[in-house]
Amino acid sequence: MIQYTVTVCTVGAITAILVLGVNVSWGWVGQIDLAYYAYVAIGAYAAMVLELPRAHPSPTTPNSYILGLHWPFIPSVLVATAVGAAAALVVGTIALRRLRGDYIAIITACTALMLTAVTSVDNHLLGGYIGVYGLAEPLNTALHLGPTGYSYFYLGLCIFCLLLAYLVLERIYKSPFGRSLRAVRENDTAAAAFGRNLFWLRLRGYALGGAVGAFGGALFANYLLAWNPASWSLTEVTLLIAGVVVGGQANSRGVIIGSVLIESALPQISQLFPLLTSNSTIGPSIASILGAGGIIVMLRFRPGGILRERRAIDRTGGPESLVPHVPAVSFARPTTATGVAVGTSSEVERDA
Amino acid sequence: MLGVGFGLVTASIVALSTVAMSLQFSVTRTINFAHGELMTVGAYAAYVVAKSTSDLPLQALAAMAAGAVLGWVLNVALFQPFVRRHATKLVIFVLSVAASFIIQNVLEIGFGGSYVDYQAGSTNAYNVGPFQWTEMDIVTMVVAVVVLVGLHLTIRRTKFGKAQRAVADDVLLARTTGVGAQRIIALTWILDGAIAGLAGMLLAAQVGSFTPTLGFGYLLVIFSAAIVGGIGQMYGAMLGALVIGLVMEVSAVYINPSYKESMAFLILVAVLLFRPQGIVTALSESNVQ
Amino acid sequence: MHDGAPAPLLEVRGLRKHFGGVKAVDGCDFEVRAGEMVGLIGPNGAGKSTVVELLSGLLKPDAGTVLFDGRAIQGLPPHRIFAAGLSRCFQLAKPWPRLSVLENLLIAIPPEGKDTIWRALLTPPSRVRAAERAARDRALAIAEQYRLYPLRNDYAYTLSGGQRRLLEFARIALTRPKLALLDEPMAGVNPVLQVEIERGIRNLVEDGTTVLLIEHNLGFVERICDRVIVMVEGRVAATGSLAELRDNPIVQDAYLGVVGAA
Repeated sequence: MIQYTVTVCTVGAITAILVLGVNVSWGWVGQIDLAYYAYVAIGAYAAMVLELPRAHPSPTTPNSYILGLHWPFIPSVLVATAVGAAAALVVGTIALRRLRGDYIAIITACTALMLTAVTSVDNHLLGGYIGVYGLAEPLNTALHLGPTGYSYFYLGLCIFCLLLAYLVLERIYKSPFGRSLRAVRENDTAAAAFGRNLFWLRLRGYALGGAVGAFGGALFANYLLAWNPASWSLTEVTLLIAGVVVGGQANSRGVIIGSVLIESALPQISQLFPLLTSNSTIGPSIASILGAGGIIVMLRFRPGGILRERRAIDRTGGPESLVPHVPAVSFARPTTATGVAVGTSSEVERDA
Repeated sequence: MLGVGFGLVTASIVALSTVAMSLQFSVTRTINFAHGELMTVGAYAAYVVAKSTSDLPLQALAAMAAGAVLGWVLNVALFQPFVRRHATKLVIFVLSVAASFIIQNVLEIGFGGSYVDYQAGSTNAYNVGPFQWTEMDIVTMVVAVVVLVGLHLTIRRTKFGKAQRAVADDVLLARTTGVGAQRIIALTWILDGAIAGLAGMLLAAQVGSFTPTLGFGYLLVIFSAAIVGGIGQMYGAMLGALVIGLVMEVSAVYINPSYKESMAFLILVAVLLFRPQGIVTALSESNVQ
Repeated sequence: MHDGAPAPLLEVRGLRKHFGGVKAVDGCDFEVRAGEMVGLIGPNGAGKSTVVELLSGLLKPDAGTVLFDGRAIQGLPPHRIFAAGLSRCFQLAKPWPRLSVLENLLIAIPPEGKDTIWRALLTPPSRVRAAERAARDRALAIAEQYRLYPLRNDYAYTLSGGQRRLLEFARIALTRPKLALLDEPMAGVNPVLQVEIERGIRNLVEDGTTVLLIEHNLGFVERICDRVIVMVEGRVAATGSLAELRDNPIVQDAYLGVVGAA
């Protein structure tokens, strides 16, 4: 039971990192990115082929893969992250040229399917449909932990990485860069009229999302110790999107809550239904329907999500405080789950 | 030449579906990610009817009816409530993605996730000039030409077509000048569904067996054709479908057929890089940055 | 009028933009000198708004040159034109709706290349806070000047039409442009806020901004503009003070007569 909990938590932490990345392109930039899972896969594959030793194809297992550099864990993950960002830069350069959101969705979906086709068909690039496998537990050559100890260690590592990703992204969100991105999302014409280079800003936001996705993918591959084209599909991306929509677009804490809800609730439901119907195959279908239905219901009745996006507010008392040094820098904290707490403070100030 | 022959058949199916989507897009400005499911539903309807009768027109009618009903339901139950509340394009798109997944999974519960066989028409082969086509191939192409010409006449000659163009140009203006915009939009969805359903049946007949992801797998080919032609452009869509269909089938002769769809996407990327407005450009589009 | 004045801040020569068969702007020539307050008037469909779109880079001209501060800016993307010192407000105010008024103002402060990921990650927290505080003080001071201080924490979408307009001016004031293009700032604004907006425009001018104002309200134009440019059918029909132009037959025919009759 404990081992099961550790597994769920590890996958949950990795999923939370992935959803933070989706949130950059969906929540901050307001872009429909369906290639996100490709960056996750690129990160996973990159980490695998960097960490694995050289491939030795044989007549019985003819599939092989490129590189095989036998690098250590940490540089592999870092390089995999960079590769994800680079891939996103290339795709973004094509997709974002035409400044229409719906085009971007189609181009990114095409890109993802193209990459899936290439990786599954070509047996010598990334092992074809069999994929890459046989990775040794990262860092354990130095740590010498038992299976249980190691699973705790990797859970800790994933939680640390989640925290790191959260803090880094929060900092970027609050920075002038994050603000510029949101201006582009809210009204790109006005953002351009106020000196924002739309293409360049969107591209950088897009690459940032790709980097986070690849980072999460590298962690995921190092957890599974194998990766193949079936590991990741549009279904997974839909679940991540569901996490963003349910949790609250552009609110890091919200989307983490959303992804945890979606990822933990749906498998339980899908396990439950076969018991009820004695049909073992419809579980995943029911889960998908509920996930997608959840998106629609949330969009209809609570479009802001569980936690709404936070806005910068100023809590100083009145005009006299305009004398420099006084205004405190603060970001509104949604104090309740409804996220409407901010309105009241400004209400009071207006009366004052 | 064999590749070109297949290409023309594929192009016919792609053209039907792409034109339906383009028409729907030009009137409603909704990018419908569940468009592939209109095709899939048509294919399953034809498959169900085929169990009791081998009558091709009846199967086609069932496919069109199923697609039309789904198109109507999507509009009334899903999109309209959000359009009324001025939902953003992103929201509408996400809705259609969600709808796509729901429909696929409902079909999977109903029919199972494995392949079902669908044989329609005769497979007798004929040599026509340099091409070799089966009877069903020829039926497919004839049906496509008839439907496309019919659609052309409908849009150019009838009151409905005129109203449709008015709504496509400006929904608000059309509304104020007394065109029943809501009714036109609803009818457009129904028409879109019917043609897409028919295309789904023809596609199923071509591939012989299919799963609930039939249309979804074809969706991006259709989007590619639509964008290559210039999205929302009916005649561009036909041209785009021809280009995409030929490239897919001809390339399959020379390289691994698994890359067939990828070739379509490569064309799409090339068009976006060098002629982002598509092959055929509308005047109104040329001034929008 | 302004004999011996220095080279104009804005010089438009042969500007042309056709939409299909419609000649929206068809060989338009005019200039604006630094420190001037110029009105651009003309009947509906004369191409005034298209001129603003062309000058601010949202549309690309078919032909013609635009010299701004000695540089050719025609055809440049909007952000480069902004960087050159030309700001514009929109006929339909475009705030960033789901951001607070304060955030709207903070974004208007020119980024000057500082909005990068690396800067966000590598700047020490103390410097981030200092920069943020400085930006906030500037934004709040402008908010006070434009009567937006009490609304600073509200979402921009909750503002009324007139308040949105004030926000547009406040944003432009924060950018400290050399030239501001104001596209019908009085349209759809209630009389109380109209006073505020007139004050806002005067504030801009006092801060050293040159203003090109597009407006239908001729009384307002006469009150605040040094000079007007009359556009008819995509061309400049006449320039001069409004008093002089009232007697000009072309102008009367094309514009003033219409307004008088309306």
